[in-house]
Amino acid sequence: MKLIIRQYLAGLRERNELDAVLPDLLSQMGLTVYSRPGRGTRQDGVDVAAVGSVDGGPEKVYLLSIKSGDLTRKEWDGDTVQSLRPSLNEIIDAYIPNRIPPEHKDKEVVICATFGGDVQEQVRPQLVGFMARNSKDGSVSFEEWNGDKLASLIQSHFLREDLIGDRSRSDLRKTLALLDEPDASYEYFASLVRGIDAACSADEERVRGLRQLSVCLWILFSWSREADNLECAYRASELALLHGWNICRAFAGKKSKASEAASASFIGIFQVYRQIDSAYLAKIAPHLRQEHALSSAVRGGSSIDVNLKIFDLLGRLAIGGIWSFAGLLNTNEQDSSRAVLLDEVSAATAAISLLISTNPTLYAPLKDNQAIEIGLAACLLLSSDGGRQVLLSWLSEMLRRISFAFTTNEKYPSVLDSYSELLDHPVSKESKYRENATSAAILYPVLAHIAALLEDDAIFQSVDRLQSEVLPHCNFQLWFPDDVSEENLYTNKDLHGIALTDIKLQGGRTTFLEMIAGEVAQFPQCFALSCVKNGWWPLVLVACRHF
Amino acid sequence: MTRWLASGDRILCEAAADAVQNIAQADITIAADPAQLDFQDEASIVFIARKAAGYLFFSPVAAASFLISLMRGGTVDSIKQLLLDPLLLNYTGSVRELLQQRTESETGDVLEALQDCLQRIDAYLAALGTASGIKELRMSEEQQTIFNRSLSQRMSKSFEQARAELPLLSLVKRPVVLYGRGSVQHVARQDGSTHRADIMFKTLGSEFTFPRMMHIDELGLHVLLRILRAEQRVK
Repeated sequence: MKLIIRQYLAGLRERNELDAVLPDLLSQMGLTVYSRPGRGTRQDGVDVAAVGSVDGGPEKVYLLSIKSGDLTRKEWDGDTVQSLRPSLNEIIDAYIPNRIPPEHKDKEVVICATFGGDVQEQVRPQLVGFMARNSKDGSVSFEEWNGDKLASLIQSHFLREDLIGDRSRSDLRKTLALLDEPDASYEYFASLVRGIDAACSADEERVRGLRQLSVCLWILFSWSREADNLECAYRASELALLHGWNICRAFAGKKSKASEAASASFIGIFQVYRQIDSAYLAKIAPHLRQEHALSSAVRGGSSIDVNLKIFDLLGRLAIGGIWSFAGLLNTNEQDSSRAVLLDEVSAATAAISLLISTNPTLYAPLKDNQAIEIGLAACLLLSSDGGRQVLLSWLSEMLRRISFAFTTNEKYPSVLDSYSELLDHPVSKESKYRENATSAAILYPVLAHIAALLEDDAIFQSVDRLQSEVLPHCNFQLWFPDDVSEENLYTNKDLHGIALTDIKLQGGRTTFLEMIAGEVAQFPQCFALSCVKNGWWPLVLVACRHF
Repeated sequence: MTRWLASGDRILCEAAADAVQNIAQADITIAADPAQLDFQDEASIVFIARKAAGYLFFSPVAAASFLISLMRGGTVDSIKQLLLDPLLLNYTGSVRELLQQRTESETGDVLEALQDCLQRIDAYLAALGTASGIKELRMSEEQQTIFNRSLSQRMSKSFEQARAELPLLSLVKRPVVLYGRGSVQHVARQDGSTHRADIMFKTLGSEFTFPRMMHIDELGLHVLLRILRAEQRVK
């Protein structure tokens, strides 16, 4: 296990990636972190500051100056602002005299030179010499927290046998061993996540569980990046985020030390999730403009493979943009992050438009539940004029092709879910088969809803015609959260929600919109979900996409 | 064939497609008969070109060579589009090879059009190549296994069906050899003696090029082919 952690630490590329896990580690060691790293900021050489007692010793102040990777000559005393020696000097000259909180002034200060790798041999004499020269008995000492030491600390405080079961440790090992078989790898990680979640019943366990999720996700991310395959990491990060909230929601609305710790750790999980999303999109984005490039990259044996992958990709692009949009809603005009978030939303909208134009399989949904990806993309596209135009042409071509598929008995959208059934679909021209394969649908009500929001009669009427002429037997429906959704939405451990069934479109788009608004009022549980009440509403969409 | 395609009649156009497909030579090239064409009537030329692209789609080299012969009459731009999509886009092997060969013999606007097509398809293929290493987009091992099993079942089924449709095959005994690269057997003569006959096996293979869009945009390809085949002249 230690080797696995060591490898993870060595794979961290940026200083802030190591920053992300250290506050959780120090808290789990029993220290109180009083200064956390801000984005790109440090205080007089200190990245993280904590106070407390380690292994029953006297209380000390721990000041961490963090580097990623190995400590090389350049990292030690190079030209960069991030070099270690100038940082240590700053700590001695400025931080210790001026910034240590008054209540901790009389405690011994331990300056920790922290890095994910090792000290290179040619630098060691300088480092040791510096430490010896600047140590003061009883007041200032130095410690080297290299990758090996950090790996030991992470293992003993997060992944020790009595903290996480044998099965979970084995799940983590198998996850990492099978990264190039993402389905199998994900299943092991899912088992690990469920194991951590199930072990959380008291507050202390919950906080520890969140930290374990965070560190396991980081380990997975670091390994996946090295393997150049983020597929498992992406799916695992969605699941970890959902289970993370499932654990964290117990603290929602409470103000305590534990709730603060839980909230900080959940945000940590969210940040890894977003970082994985960014790394994933960075691989995809350069190919968005190239016609068919992403479809061809699927290298599947049939058009089904391309269709399933590209719709999934559409959902991933959309949900990334929706998180940025949610962030935007929480800012005001003066907020410095506003411009960045606006750019992110525009980039996601542009990426979706490009994906649709260069990957025509998106005009032909095969599975009814691809309505979720279409709905997510529509959420973003509806927010701009250009996006609305894209949406209009996308949906009208999609409906033209769906009608064609029904007319010629080709691969029309169905409720079939298994890959083998989809491969053979449609196996028969008989009406009985078609009625079974299209017995119910959320796809058409979602398309009708988008058409109604776009105020486009032509698209709405196309869906209406499909219902009356081709699919009179099909139970058009929409799903709403109910009383037990709060308990099950984030983990999918049981059925939840209510389906509004037998939806008819013949009343026209205004009547349809009124009906939906009326039903939303009938299901106040949607707004009572803990994630919605606490500003994490995109989690509902992540859950819809993931499960 | 030119007259049949020009008629737009489904039965005649299908007969033209069958005639091309039934010729044993896989990459047969054909040319339009100028005597049947009025090259001044651009709409008619484009109509015939669209019928050729639609009906001869599964004999891509024949279709492409037919389109090139139509281009010689002066209608270059509209036919060039058909040459690119659906033909070159779907058959980047055989059609591209034909176009390369033809750049050595064609001249003027036709040569320019062929060179442009080749440039565009090369750029397209280069772009595909850059994305091919994205591991995250590959189908899963499990799906691959299911797909291979399904493909194998479909192949066996179609083989059985073909055997059933050929009564001669049912008269012949089908020996099954489990191991080895040849077989030896003792064959009885009329006089009661036997002779030892050995047969070394040979590999027989057949190749079928799958149109690229069958993977990338199957429904879109079917829609396009239907349109090309079904549309009629505007009167």
